[in-house]
Amino acid sequence: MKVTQEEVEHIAKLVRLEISSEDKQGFVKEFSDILSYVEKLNEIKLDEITVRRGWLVDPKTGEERMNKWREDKITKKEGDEVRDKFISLASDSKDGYVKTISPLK
Amino acid sequence: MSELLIKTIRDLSEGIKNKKISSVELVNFYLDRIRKYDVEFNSYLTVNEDCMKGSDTSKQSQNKSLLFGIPAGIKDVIATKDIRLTGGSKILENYISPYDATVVGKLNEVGYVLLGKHNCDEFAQGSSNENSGYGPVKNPWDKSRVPGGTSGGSATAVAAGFCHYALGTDTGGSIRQPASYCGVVGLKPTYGRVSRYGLMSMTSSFDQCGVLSRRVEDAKEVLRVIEGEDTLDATSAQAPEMEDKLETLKGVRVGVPKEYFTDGLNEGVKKIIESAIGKFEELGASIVEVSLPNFQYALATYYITMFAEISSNMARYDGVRYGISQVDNKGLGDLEDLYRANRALLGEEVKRRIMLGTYVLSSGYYDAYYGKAQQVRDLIIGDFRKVFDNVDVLAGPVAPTPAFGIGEHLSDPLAMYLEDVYTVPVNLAGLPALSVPAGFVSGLPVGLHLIGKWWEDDKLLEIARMYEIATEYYKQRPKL
Repeated sequence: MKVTQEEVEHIAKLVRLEISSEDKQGFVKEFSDILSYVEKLNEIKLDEITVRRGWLVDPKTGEERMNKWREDKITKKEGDEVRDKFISLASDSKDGYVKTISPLK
Repeated sequence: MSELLIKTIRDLSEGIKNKKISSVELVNFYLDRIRKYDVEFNSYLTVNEDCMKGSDTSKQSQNKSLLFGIPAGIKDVIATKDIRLTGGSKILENYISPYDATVVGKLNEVGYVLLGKHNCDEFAQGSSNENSGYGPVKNPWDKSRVPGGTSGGSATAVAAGFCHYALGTDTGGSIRQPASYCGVVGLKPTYGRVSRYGLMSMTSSFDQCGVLSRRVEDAKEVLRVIEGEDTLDATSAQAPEMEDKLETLKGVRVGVPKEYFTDGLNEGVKKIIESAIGKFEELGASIVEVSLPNFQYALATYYITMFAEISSNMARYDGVRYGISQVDNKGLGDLEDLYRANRALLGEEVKRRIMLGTYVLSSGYYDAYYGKAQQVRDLIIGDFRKVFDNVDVLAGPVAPTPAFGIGEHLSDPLAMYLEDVYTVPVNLAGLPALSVPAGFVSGLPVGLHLIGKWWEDDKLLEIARMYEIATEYYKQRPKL
């Protein structure tokens, strides 16, 4: 797969990365090389896509297992100091909320 | 004191109980070595100088765990409460973790000692530790070479004697490959055996926390403590009770996948692995040639899946809720500008992978890349299921070469990716595997790769232990 500079620019915009024009050149070539390598998989012809989770193996049965879900509910109420600790990691905050600059110009 | 470096955790624990050595002496022994030598090796990002503060050595006799008082280091992608957690990235240079990973909580319960946090490739992405935002780590056997990656700081620290053991993470070989390059033991457990809660996510369906140590039985003792189901990791499960020690290799069937010995394997490495397999035969094991027909597709399958999962896992690093931020930069117009400005601190390889992941998941390409890779992943798992009907473990090389030179592969990302060819199939399938020292090529260590069946981590470790005590490569330590 040959990747174009426009495609690299488009993806960079989607993922909110600033890429210098020098790096852009490099990425165009590297992405083309890497994608050509992984296209090796096209050699295998397969039917419709079914995604399994065969790497999740049940320790007792040896068969495929599923994720174990739990209810999303509060099991332990932490004090304000825990909340404050998390909020204090943000670059800016106000009244116990993370503060950032406006999403609109 | 340097004889401490070939002792097992069991030996040291006995010593602590019988008051022949104290935990304080052990800690000082390691801290002195870190201060004296690590300036050159760069294996620690944070040294926990206060690690003995508040510890109560009178509790020694009450604590039954072998890990009590034994000093460890932890790869800096694993959360340790109130200690800096960088992920090897500049974007988190100021981040102090507000909580412990489940594995760290378990180590705390048994009274382990944390010496510090180990350098690694940024967000565990790389194969050489050269992608760290804090400079490369050097290989203790040859300072002009890489220690491997991404748990390169941990492998160097264990090999050079800057901690007794380390916790690392393995997504595509990140414990086993540096263990091979540095001449230590590196264990990646079965997927789900150890909780991932508190590990920085890279590729969630491959990531697993494991152990680097100088002795095989030490890795087993640490695994015993850190394993277990965790409600905070929906993919974790309770492992079966570990079986007792193996007394002999008679009756053990060692499979040798022929695909692990084709073009690209260094001749010196090949000779070492063949002689290790010969040793197994000498010790009574039977050797069976096996085949993994889809092996040739494993690396492509791994890279597509990894790029895809990285592109979503890296979205959280935007510098708003935590990390370094440009929020005070008045020149920024809106939130999008802020994201771009903050994310400029991400390294080149992380950017490359985020973009490739976004590409392979994008509309029009999803089925051809990601969907196809998931189907092939299933075929590769099927290959392993078949061979494990007839063998107990698989044996082969960990990496195609011994440690390469710093800077050697930096200009060619694809060449760097090819380093992972023998380790990634294991992560695709979620199998347990390890690297155990097996010899030297021109003074550089080479590890033997042993791969076990799902949940048979104990058998895998016992087979490796029998090999280790028959060969005693652990006695050879690098001269710093």
